[in-house]
Amino acid sequence: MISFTIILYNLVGVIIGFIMGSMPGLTVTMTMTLIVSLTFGFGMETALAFIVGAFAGGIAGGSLSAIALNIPGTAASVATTFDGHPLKNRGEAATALGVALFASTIGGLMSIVFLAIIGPIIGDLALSFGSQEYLFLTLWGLSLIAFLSKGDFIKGIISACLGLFVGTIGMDPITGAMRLTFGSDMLMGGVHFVVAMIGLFGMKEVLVNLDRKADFSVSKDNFKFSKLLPKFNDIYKSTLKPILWCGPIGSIIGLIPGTGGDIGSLVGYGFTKQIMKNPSRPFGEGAYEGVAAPEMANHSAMGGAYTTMLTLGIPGDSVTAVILGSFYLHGLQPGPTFMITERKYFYLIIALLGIGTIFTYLVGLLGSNAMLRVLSIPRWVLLPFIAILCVIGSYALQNNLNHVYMMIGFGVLGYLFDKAKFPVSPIILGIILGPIVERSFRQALINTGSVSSLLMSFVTRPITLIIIILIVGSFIFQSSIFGTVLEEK
Amino acid sequence: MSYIIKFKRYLISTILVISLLLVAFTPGTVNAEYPERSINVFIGFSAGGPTDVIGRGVVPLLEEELDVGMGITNMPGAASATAGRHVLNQKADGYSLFFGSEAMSVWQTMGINEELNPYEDFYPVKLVAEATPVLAVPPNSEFDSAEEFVDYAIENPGELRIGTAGPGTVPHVSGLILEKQLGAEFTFVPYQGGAPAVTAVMGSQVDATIEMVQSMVEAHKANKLKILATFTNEPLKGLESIPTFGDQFPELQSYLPYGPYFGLFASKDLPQDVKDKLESAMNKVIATQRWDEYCEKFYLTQIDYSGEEAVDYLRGWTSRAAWVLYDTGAAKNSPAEFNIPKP
Repeated sequence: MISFTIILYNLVGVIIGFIMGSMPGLTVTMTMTLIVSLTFGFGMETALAFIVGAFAGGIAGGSLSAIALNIPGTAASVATTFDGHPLKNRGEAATALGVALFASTIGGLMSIVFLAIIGPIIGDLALSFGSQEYLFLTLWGLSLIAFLSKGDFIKGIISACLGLFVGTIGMDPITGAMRLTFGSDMLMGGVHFVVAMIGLFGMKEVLVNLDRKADFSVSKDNFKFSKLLPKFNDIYKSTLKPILWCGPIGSIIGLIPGTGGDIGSLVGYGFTKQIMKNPSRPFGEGAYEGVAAPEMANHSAMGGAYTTMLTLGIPGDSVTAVILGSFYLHGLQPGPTFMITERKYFYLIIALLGIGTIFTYLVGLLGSNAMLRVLSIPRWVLLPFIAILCVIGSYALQNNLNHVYMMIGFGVLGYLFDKAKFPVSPIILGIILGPIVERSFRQALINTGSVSSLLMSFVTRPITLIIIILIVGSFIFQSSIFGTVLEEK
Repeated sequence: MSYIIKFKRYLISTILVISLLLVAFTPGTVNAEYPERSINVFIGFSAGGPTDVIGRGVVPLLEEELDVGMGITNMPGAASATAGRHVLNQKADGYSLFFGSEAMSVWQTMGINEELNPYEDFYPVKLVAEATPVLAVPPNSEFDSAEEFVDYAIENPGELRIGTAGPGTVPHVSGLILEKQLGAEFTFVPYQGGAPAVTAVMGSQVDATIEMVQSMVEAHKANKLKILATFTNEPLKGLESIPTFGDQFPELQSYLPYGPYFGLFASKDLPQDVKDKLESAMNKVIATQRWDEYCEKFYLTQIDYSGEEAVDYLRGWTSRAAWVLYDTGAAKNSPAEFNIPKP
């Protein structure tokens, strides 16, 4: 199944992902939506290789601009700037990048092991996941809006409610009645979340950048190849420690629907800060551990997100939402029966993730210098190109021109939200998870027959009970450790 | 001043990229006898669904007969009405075709698209196949036959939950037929398409699921669910051991076999010579051995209707589905509004 062609596609995916991921403003989500639209004509296996590679490369690319420009290339690299940029100012940019690449590779490989072990276990359990389980799993994801809203909780809630509202447009999942369509054909199919994503992340960025006067200030640093290579010195030894907790934390956060590398890296950073009493330097002033921890955590989240996506068919985060859509498009059916009917693709994906992670490391070592040159591409080349990719991506999704209009509408909305300092990620979370919450709740209600027996079933179904306990636990956890991270920002 | 220069740069770069893409993707067009250039077939559901799978079986065979390139475009939305509408909006020259299925028959009654009727607005080039829904229960279910299942539902109205692919779909209507004709009462749990409904029955989340036989048969053979009966009068080829509803309940026979149809449609304004050309090519397609094998693989019943015959078939199918939906209160509109006769 693994042929030379597939590995080549994987490599090209890594390189393109790395380039796009490192461009400020081109988030991994955005990168993936554009990449997926490139694969419409591919065969399934080559498309898988390409998409999986681009995902791995995209997250790593984000760290490059986080360290070199202090602009996180992706939301998942936000925490990397906390210590990565101070390191750069001390003249240790190359070491910081070397550590980041090394840590992310270790984190990535850990998460693949996690996926390989946990995936089949959850796959076996997946058939016992009924409506109640889906309901609480997705509610759990929604509850993490608090985190995505980055401090301003009210604005986060408002964004999320907007997303939930948009998610109700279209056909009622239970009765088939049309809701909020105003008789328009355009709204009958509902709002496809990928369209909203392309608008809110891609088109918005174009508009925001047009509005901005200054070009990106590109650092004139040169990364010596020898300095990027890992060495068996104290720096690398000290950075290995956080893997003990960052790996599991990242993977578990990745498992929760709707959350991924962005939250994983912040939690990983916060946790490391609490736990490590003697870092190489104080956190925030250039601690190597402060670069390694978020990188490990956000790559570990990848495995968790893949697990949820493949075994339950729920997107683990906004990026896997795009990937999930592309899998359906190419004829793969992630979901509870995936491990039964398409197990060989499960292992293919694991293999591709492994190869892609190694490629990412190599591309990062060899290509970081060249990437810094790419970052100096003037905006008048970059922005029209992104805008056109947004149009193609949204049209190609279902060959529907209405999606292009919607995408532009979401772009304008995203721009206004950006001006008003409202977060846009909760909108996406609402659009993706809202319909699953609604459908699962109503299915559960029909299934149990009455409200009282529905409430009873929350306690009597073991998996539901476990998830409820986890939700309560995560709230308690958030209030102490998460709080300290937010104060930092 | 520098702003104007910058704006110009943006503009020039935009125009360059767009024109490059246009050059890359514009096909050459020549006027001559049909078919001269490639034909696009639109499918109103996502890749991997039953309509898509069957369409992708037919189109390559038709491509060989017509000897031009044929592309398949999935344009999901509004139970395939989006794609149907799109094809009707194109020039009626036979270069945009629609591979449709039974969802067309409930567009009007379910209020999905009140203006489009499968036999009045489309020209059915050829109806090629029917699929068969079956009733299946979890592997550990107490029910071993459709009779036991139905009897229990008559004695305990509303207690048995049946998973379906969604409101107004064939599995839903099939269940409604059981209610209407046998006096049973079920609770229907709509899932987002057929696959989750099958998963639900395998995991005992519901008491039974009605879905197409081809998506259940592998699980049946692996003992992950039990198929109790098919919605036919005659046993299915290759699955003779599975009883039929028609056999067990004679009062259902007039409604059976009940299952979705699949076929190639075009705009009704198509020129006669194009209609003839397409129909004769489709005649050859369904006579091929490869089509036979394809149908056998997916447990499809072959049908062969075109022209007036196809219109009669569609009219009958539409009226049965529409009135069952209406009589059981599941429909949004009365079929009478659209001059759909009672069966």
